[in-house]
Amino acid sequence: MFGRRSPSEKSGGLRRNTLGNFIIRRIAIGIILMLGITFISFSVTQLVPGDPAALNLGQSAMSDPTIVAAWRAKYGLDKPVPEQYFIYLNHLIHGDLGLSQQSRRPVSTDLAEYFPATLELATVAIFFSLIFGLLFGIIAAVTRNRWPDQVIRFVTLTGVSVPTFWLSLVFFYLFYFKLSWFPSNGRLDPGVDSPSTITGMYTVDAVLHGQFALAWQALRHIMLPAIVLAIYTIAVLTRFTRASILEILNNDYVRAARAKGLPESLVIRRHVLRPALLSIVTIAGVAFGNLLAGSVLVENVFSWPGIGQYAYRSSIGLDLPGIMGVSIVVAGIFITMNLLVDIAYRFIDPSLRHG
Amino acid sequence: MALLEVNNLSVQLQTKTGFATAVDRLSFTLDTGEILGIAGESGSGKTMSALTLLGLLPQHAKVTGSAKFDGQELVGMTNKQWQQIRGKNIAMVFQDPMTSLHPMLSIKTQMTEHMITHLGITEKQALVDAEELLIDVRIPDPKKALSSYASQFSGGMRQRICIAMALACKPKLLLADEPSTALDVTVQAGILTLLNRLREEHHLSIIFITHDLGVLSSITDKLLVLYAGREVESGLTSTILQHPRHPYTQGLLDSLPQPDSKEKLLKSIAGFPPELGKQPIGCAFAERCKFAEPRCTGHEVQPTFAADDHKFYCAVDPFAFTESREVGA
Repeated sequence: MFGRRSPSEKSGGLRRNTLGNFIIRRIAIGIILMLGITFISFSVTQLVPGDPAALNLGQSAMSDPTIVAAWRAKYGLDKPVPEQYFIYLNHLIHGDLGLSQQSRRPVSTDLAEYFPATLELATVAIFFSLIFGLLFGIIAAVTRNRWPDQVIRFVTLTGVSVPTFWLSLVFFYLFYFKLSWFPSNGRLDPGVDSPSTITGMYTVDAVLHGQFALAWQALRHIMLPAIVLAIYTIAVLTRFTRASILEILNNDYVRAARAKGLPESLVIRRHVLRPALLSIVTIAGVAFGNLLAGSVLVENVFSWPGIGQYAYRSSIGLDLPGIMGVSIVVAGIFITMNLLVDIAYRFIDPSLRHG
Repeated sequence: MALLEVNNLSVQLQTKTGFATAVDRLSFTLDTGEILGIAGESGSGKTMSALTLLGLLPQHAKVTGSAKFDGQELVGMTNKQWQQIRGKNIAMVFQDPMTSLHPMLSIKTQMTEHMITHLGITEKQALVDAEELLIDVRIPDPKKALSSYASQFSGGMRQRICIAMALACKPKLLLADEPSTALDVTVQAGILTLLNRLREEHHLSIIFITHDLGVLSSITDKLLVLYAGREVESGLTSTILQHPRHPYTQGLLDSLPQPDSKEKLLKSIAGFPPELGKQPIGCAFAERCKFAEPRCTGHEVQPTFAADDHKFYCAVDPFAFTESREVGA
């Protein structure tokens, strides 16, 4: 009866195409990928000219060879490079990311402090991006070549062209300094204590502790940098949504749906948006990954203590454990995002679950 | 009163250089339960005329003339009015069942959504009806089929599903645009039998569009042969097949494969149809026609009536006294 073998016939085999198996397979691949990434970032850091000791010790300390030798021994830099790598891996397996030469604290402690700040910011930014990116993209596509489309296309072209650091400065000047619509930089007002850490995201932690005024304050602090970050992503998502909807609209099955006399809104929602979402989700995943990897420029302008700032400081100081820690986090983010995107595919296109 | 009365229907499409006529002053009528075949090569305006009857032409297309369905004028209807007609009163089955079913929506959703929209019934009731329709078009295991996706079916099965879907709201008119062309010959025959049976059971009128006169001969009551957007010959299918009067119809029939023919090559009509928007005044077929005379072009060709219900547009009429062809094959 069926062109292909039906799912029930197939499920007897070893490689069952269930979501669980799929995720397990992908996580295994992810771990191998991470291993490769640690190797590459370790090697690349070794290739960069410069002496971590010179960057981290003062000038007088550098002139004393015993201090330099002791410092190198403390961070394991006196051993051969391949051995350093294996020591690092061994520690990594035990959850130890090493000591940061910059903060002199465990890298894992640093990351636990910096990453939630970025996660919080990126989540708000991707939230705005998805809402407005999809909305504008759909409007542009259904009003193709008429004025709403023209306006949206012009604005989004501007959005992708304007440099983010410039936008950060302009927004900061305009909405904080001139209009005072938003509070100044940082995650909270000066002198305000952060909520005790549960997730490290201030808004979430404050809500969990029932400190709603504090949560509101934290949210107001996020807004400005999140909007600046979102503007580029909104522009990208809008253009992408528009393009993929227009592509789907040319399909025979859309004409067939219209021939059934369905209201145009239903045709768009059910028959066009679903297939268009496949490519939109891919781009949104990459965009969220980029946001989670932190933006050095935006985080600096808004004094946001996120992973971007941490990465920047680590690389300036040739802080090997710090750099490695950031690389692993960022790699983990992208691998996770890709996995989530692939899982999302299977929800958007249920026929994949039968394939 | 005829179910569908088309009068001087013209369609002009916007091209880079201006408007080009895709359908040129088409007129025909269709009664309840009748099957009209529209024949012609690609680009002859067959599909365009069908899409006009559903208001699904590309944006900026200009439609003039009249098409009255059940007394209601279709030309000039708003999108809202069209939505009331489409799927509910006039349904369409498209050429390629591999692309006209949605790949990501279950057959269930696609079968029931327009029933829910048009008939105001609940999803539950629609599902019951959908299952019956699938049985009606001979889909084995309809319950399982409903929860399946298009990719799980073969081409012939997909086209049966498309036909069931088109019939869901009990339309009076079915537009079938080459519904069997993309399918294997054996599957094709099954689809034709199915349409013929459904016509009788559902009192359905069908406009069957194809380039294949062989297919049309087996199923249609009436025939309309189009060339370059214009009618060249029309009448009862049996009459036309026995005694085609227009050289183009003759050519189409000659190009059908003959099982007992001694010739090894299929006959074909030399040359190509004129490009869209470049149809000449007079007979558009003249430049490919071996009987063409100077009087064929330069002015409009007047219709000649071979009988009350057999009309053709040829000034030369080279087949006026030829013997009848053998029908069937």
